[in-house]
Amino acid sequence: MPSNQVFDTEEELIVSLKRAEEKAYVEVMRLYKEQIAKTVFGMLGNGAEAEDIGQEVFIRLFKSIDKFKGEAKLATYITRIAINLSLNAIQRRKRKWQIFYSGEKKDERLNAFADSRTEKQKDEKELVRRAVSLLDSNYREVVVLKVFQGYKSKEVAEILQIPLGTVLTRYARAQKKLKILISELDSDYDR
Amino acid sequence: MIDKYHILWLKKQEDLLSPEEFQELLVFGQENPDQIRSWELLEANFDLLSQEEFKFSHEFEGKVLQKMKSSQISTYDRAYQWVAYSGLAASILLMLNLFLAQDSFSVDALIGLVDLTSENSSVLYYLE
Repeated sequence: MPSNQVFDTEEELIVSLKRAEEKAYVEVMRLYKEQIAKTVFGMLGNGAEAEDIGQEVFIRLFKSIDKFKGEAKLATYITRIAINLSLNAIQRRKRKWQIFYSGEKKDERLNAFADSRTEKQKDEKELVRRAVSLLDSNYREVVVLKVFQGYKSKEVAEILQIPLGTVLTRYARAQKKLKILISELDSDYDR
Repeated sequence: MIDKYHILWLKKQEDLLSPEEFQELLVFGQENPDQIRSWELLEANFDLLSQEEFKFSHEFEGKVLQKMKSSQISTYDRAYQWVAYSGLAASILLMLNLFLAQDSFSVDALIGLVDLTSENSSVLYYLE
């Protein structure tokens, strides 16, 4: 458990959470807020939706803490919740996208990004971030956990409950797709 | 085939290679240095993002705590409603039972004021 002043061990923190004590809620948010922000903003991009999903992550944890048996670390458990809720949000977004833009292809989405460009967005980091946001969600979740959160592949496998080989394959393919997306976005910016 | 070596190269970054895989990658790297370089460049794309800072708003904790409190109150309300509805259902069953027993579908029958053996089951009969 990261350094904390209120509880000596994660077990104590979990006991307090199960008693629905507010000090435990506050402590969990202090410890994991940044980590969850990286996950949901990485998965969903900046915006109100990511903030709402972030709140939902903690509420879901607090309400389901009785089901937490301690087979994984609390950090793993809460990250899993964050990934699942982000994936649900992406699905909802896709459904909306299909309703409103049923004929639209990825190229047109890229153009939409290019049209909204500003000087700042031409910055290389912004370019990579936009490219990540265009990755399929199963690639994106691996990238977010490995790159934004700094998890090792084995830890990513544990969080996503998939084999290590799948994590590495998705990461390798995500890198290749990212290279293509970056060059497409870059040429759109320069057009 | 290149995918296989790409994955081996990724495994090498995390010391996950077996000695055989290490040897295999070494040979591949000597024969394809440009490919290794391209993977390093791909990884560098991600390095740009690893220092990204993401933060929730200042009201974040307050909103979560508020939502937790309101959900706890509504849980209490649900429990209260459950007790109330159960009581109401029991009362109706009791009234129905008495009605079937002596044809008295009334409040006085419900609260037990009637004489089940009497022909007149109205509470007014007893008050008079």
